[in-house]
Amino acid sequence: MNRRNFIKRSLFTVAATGLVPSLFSRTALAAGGNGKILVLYHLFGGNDAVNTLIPYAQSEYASFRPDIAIPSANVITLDSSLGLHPALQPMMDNLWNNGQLALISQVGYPNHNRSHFVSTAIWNTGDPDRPNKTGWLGPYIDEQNDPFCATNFGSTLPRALRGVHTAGLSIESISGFGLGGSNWEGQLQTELLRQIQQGRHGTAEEVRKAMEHMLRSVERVREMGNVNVTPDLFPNTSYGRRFADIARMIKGDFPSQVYYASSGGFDTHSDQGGATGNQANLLGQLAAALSAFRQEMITQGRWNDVVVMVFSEFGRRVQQNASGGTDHGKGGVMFVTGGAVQGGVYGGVPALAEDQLDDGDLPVKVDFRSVYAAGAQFIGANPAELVGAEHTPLDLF
Amino acid sequence: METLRTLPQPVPDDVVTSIGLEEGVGAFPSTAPYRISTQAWKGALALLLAGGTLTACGRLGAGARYRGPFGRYEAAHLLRRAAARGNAAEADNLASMGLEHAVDALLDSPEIPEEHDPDYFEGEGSPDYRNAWVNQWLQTRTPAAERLTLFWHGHFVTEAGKTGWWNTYHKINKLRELSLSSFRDLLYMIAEDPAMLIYLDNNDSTKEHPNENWARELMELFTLGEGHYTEKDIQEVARAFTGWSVSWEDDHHYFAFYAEDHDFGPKTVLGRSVHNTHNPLFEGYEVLDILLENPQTYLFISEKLLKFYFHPDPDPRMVQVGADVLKGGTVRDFLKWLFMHPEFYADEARNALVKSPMEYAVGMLYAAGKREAPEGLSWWLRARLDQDPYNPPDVSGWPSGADWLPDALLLQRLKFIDFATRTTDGEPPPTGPVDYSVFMDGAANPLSLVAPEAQLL
Repeated sequence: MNRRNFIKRSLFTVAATGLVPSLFSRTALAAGGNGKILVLYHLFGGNDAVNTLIPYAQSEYASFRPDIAIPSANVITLDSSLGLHPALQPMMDNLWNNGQLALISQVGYPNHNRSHFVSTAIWNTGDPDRPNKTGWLGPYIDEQNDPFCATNFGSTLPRALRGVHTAGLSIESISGFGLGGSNWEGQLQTELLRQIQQGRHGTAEEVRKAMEHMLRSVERVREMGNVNVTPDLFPNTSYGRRFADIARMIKGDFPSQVYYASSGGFDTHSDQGGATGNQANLLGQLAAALSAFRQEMITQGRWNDVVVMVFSEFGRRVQQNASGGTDHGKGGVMFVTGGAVQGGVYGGVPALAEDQLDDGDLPVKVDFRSVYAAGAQFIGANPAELVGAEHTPLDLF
Repeated sequence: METLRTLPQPVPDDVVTSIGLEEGVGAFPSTAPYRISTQAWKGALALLLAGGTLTACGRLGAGARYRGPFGRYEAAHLLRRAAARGNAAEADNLASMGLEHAVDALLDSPEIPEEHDPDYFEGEGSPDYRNAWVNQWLQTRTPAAERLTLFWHGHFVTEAGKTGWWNTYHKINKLRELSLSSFRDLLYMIAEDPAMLIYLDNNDSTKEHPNENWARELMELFTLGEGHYTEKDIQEVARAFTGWSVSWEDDHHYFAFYAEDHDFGPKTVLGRSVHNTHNPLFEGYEVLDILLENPQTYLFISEKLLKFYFHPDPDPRMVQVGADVLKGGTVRDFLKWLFMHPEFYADEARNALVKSPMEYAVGMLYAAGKREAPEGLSWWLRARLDQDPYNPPDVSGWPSGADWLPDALLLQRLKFIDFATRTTDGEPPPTGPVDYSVFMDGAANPLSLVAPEAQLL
């Protein structure tokens, strides 16, 4: 038994007796992986790819989208055929111009499902045929056998971070994660430690285990509250706060190799806006936070160790609807960035001519699992085990 | 127009028994009053016929009936499941009635709160929509209707953030009124509901640009469940509902049909022709009828109700019998069947469900003697316990089971104990024996609230 396995085993022995484990070593756990970090960011609702990575030179672009097309003059041109949404200017300046922004065009999976929930489940399980109960990272998390190896920011743990035996950690934010200090709360905590020593069965046992998991997590996360990142760098938006917390945990050597977060608002059936408006506001906040994250990672000397993958469960219909919005579509767009990433457009220029579309949607030219495979390889996991050997890693690095 | 947005007052019992159901009260069918004497034998016959080919006489059948002891212990389980709120005295009262009368009492016609106009809730210091619902749940004599209303609101989801607060408030009020009625009544009401028409963008669906949002969720989430229709069916249903929209008069939205936006071409939905050029509005109702005739709809709703009221993984045979009960009767018939079922009182069913934050908060406040939402509760629900009752996370509604218990939420639930049990002058609760017996099994004193059982129904 090597040292790392011994520590893991002793953690679970301690947990089984109901004591809060505080004696295992953070650095020993952190040393387990290759030191690389994968950040997954889900844009929930279905981000409109056509107005994100814009085939502005095609006449269909403006004619299909009379109310929401972005005027050519406002598009940030990448080349003679494609451009970025103007709200993504910070990403252009900091990521694309440094050759570190990969844009995965027309990404998705075969036989696309247009339900938010089914499609999100498919992205999180990596299994379009029948969404599994466990996530695409489940085998990795099970192998690590450590709930701290993957951290979600949010109230509900996404399926991506659920294994069969082990699930990732889920927190809203670093600050405010813990039981308070009043005398009465202290008594509650003492009673809690007593109660969870008694095993139960059925759902009660599930709750008891959730309480154990929570107590371990509280202690680990609270240590991260003392870590400082560059002041005033991150914008005070939900995107900014999430990326700041991720940066804090990376700097504090928190043992997660995977971070997951999501933000909503992309289900723009109505009032999507064009160069400005609802989608523009969301993309702008994302771009500013990502740029700040890059800066902080460079300061920490970790930018080459990090890859960020931003995805959405599907793209949207090429033709706008009557409400100044777009309905659910198929092919989407992903952003992948990091110091080691080879920038560029992967997946080709979307052709908007009616006969090039898949029933009115962008077709799928890149399977998202080949992108995930590259991320898995980056953190030293086995891509074939996570997404299937048939999905060879996209050559992003 | 006034009647369209004014909920009818509850009909006094003596009127109900003498004249029966009054047709056409309000904008939607009233809940059929429950009268054991004249209805039960017909219902029993229908159930026997419907379930006869299945397992009507078996342990899981429509006729299966719990015959074990019915004391405080069993009544506490029943009350916790039905209402998520109660105390030992109420459990004892139910036990003294005997099982059937206890179930009938719990499933009494919902007490309907007065519906306020939007200005009642707006402006500095006005009542809060969330607290108003919590107060209703804490104070009503029909708390089971509140838990059921939460179920229907989590099924026929709208988010106040998109519909406007009052529209979702009004929808919740209508769901409460119809909560025990037939699934048909509920579906017809929701299809015409302004909050839903706005929420799923049908108010913008035209023959030139049919919006598929309502059509998709109608089949995926509200009736059949995923995988029982094709993408083509969604497009056809969307066409059938073109022109179903809302108007704006007197500061309120109303259901309105605009024939000029309707697609008059023939449609085919699930292999059935839908075409009514004489009265195009009725194409929408024809679609609803096709879905209401489909047995899959009742299997889907039965399973969802059983997961909410019975067990996270209900036996498929229970689902089948429940679907038959629901198809041939009302939601009240379904719940009465379940609450009198032997499996409902089995050890495996007790404490098998995880409380949602609303149920957890209401149950704990009630047990702690609170009959009014404490200041700050609305914020607790929304920001810390992660269940804003007016804004479900998305159109699929709230999670269930252990999905409610990631570390962050579980931690907040434990911190909530301090908030909920403090006396009104801010002191910690007395540590002596207290009555949390309906809130949770095994409570000895307020410290017991940290036990896993406090999270369970």
